[in-house]
Amino acid sequence: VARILTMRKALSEAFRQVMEEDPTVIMMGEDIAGGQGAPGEQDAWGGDLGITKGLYGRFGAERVLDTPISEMAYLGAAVGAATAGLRPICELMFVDFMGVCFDPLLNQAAKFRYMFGGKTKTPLVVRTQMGAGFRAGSQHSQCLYPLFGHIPGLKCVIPSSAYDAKGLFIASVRDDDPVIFFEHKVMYDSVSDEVPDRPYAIPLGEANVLRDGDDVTLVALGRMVHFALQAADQLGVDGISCDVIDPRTISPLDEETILESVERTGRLVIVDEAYPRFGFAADLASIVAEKAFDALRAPIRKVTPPHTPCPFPPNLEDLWLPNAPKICAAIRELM
Amino acid sequence: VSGPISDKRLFAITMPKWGMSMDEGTVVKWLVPVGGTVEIGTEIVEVESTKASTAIESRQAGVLLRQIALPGAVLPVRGVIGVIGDSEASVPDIDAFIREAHQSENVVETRHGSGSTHVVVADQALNVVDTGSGGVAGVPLILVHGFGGMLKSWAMLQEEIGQDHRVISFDLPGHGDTNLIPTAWSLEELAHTITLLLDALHINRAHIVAHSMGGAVSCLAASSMPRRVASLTLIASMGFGAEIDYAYIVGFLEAKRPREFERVLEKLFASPRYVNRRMIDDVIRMKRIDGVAEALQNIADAAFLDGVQRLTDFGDKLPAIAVPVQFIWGAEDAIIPVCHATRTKFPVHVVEAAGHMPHIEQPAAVAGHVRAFITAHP
Repeated sequence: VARILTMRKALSEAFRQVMEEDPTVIMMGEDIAGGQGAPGEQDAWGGDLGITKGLYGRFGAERVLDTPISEMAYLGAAVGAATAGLRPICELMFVDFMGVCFDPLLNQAAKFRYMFGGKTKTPLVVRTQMGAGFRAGSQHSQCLYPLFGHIPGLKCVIPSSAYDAKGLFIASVRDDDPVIFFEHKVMYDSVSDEVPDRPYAIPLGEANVLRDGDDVTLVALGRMVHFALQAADQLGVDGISCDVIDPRTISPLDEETILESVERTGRLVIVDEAYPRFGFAADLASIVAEKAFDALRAPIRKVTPPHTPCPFPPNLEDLWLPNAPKICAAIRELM
Repeated sequence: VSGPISDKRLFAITMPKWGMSMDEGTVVKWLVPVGGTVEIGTEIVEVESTKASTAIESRQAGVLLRQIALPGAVLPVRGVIGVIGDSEASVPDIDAFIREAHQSENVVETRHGSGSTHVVVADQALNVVDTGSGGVAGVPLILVHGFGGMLKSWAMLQEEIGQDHRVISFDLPGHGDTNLIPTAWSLEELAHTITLLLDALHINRAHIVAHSMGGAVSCLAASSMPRRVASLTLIASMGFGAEIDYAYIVGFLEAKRPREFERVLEKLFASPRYVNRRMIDDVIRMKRIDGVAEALQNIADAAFLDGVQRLTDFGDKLPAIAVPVQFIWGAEDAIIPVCHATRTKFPVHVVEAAGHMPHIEQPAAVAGHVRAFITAHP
């Protein structure tokens, strides 16, 4: 049965289903149960934005662990548990806080398979929230996935719809390598679409083509996919047709689908909410320049925030973010 | 909340009514596995309404024999959620009890978005689209899709005929949005779901329009209940000869990415423009669901052997059951050759500018042939 669900509900259903199907799946993080110090109300909150609500009551304290506010300690514990036979889902509230616990991911989880001759697997999923538009200031608004995409051995998943969120999450938990799963906090309740009630997995590394067009290849991730679709709709009125591609995962990256499209359209615009320098857009631009240079009929364009922290004043935050008019303007320049 | 409906020591667990405003509820989670022992007061299943969320407690001691409604299913108040009873109860007894329970409740349908309904038959929830009303002699029309298909493929034909006729399409087990039970499906079992669907909808007699593998399935259904089938329209049907483009079947089973599906699905049509992203997306979404790929493989194993069809002799068998039969075939069908139809004694309508899916490429022409046939055989 397919129902219209918000991304919040789709994720919550995915959490429940992966924990039901596999008893080795555990969930850990700050406040995900609601606070151990409050007898009778452990289930009250469910993480800082309520995404894990209901899990503690359903699966109990053995499998839903409230951790101390010590990311280094519990991420390290999760990595160890993953190598020892569990499949931990570890919530790191905001990706902005990753700085305090980078070693277990960067230098341990990402390297075990390589360093131990393929004998060790680390089936860990780190869930984390990202993104601007939440009026949360520069320390709670970043899209830091390029930091993780940079590290071989980590998989990076960035869902843009409720359907994708559930299917990609289930695939992430079933994957034997460490996966960082990025949830855009503005999308939990603002994005909803058709989601089947049964479990399903969307393979990691398979792009989703949302629109077919001949003139421009428009690549976007996460929340930016929705702006890209708005732009494609507006441009369509003027007779400019866009291929809109959501890679869904930046590592592994479905280069084939993007290159095939650029070979056809000859133009590439990349919409990315991450900082522009050393980011996903810059990386994809270099891949296309290397592998499809002859097909390009115009310069590659990036639509990203400026290379500054996200502003706190709401009007400046809105100005800072990419949006449909900015994407349209970039595309019109290429035509 | 559960109550006895029968004297056979079987008890139905039904959707409770919490307050005047509640008319449906959602099954959240089963707390007892099938076969699990329950005592009076054991919490069996968690149910949610807009007002409350709580577990239903058993009023009887016994064994949970069936979980009929799966988590996520929305049932009307008094809809049957499951069955408790004696561990000795036989499968036919339980089936009969469930049928009876559904009839006495008369509320087995559960509504979902986009006009489709889940109809619970035995322990399956069949995804059903039931449109229109009336028609020739009040006999409704049932549409049966083919291998790897789904009720959506009938949308255009259903709209054409549904204007003045009751038309029902549904997803076969292992397909579309029908809830799956993990088992190896034979074509006979698929045929039996047609019987169960007619029972659940209280339809005594129906016309059947069936496509491809659905044709062979419907021939089996018609053979087992000839008096309930008013007529049989077989579109590019299996069951009348060995040959089939088996590479299509293998391609469909193996395809994963959109481009692979595009190449496979284009074989179905005279004009490739009918293969669009929406169609590809529907098929990919269906195949990604846990268990569907295995179910389709099981169905293919039941339907084919060494690259040819297993059931080939309905041309000889059907005349004996006295159900009126006609064929409709696309002139450019690349999957099953039209000679399978023309060598039988039944009338054949060849539709120009159509491949294996004439009901999608030429719905008006197909609807015309269906209308004429059901009018002639009320």
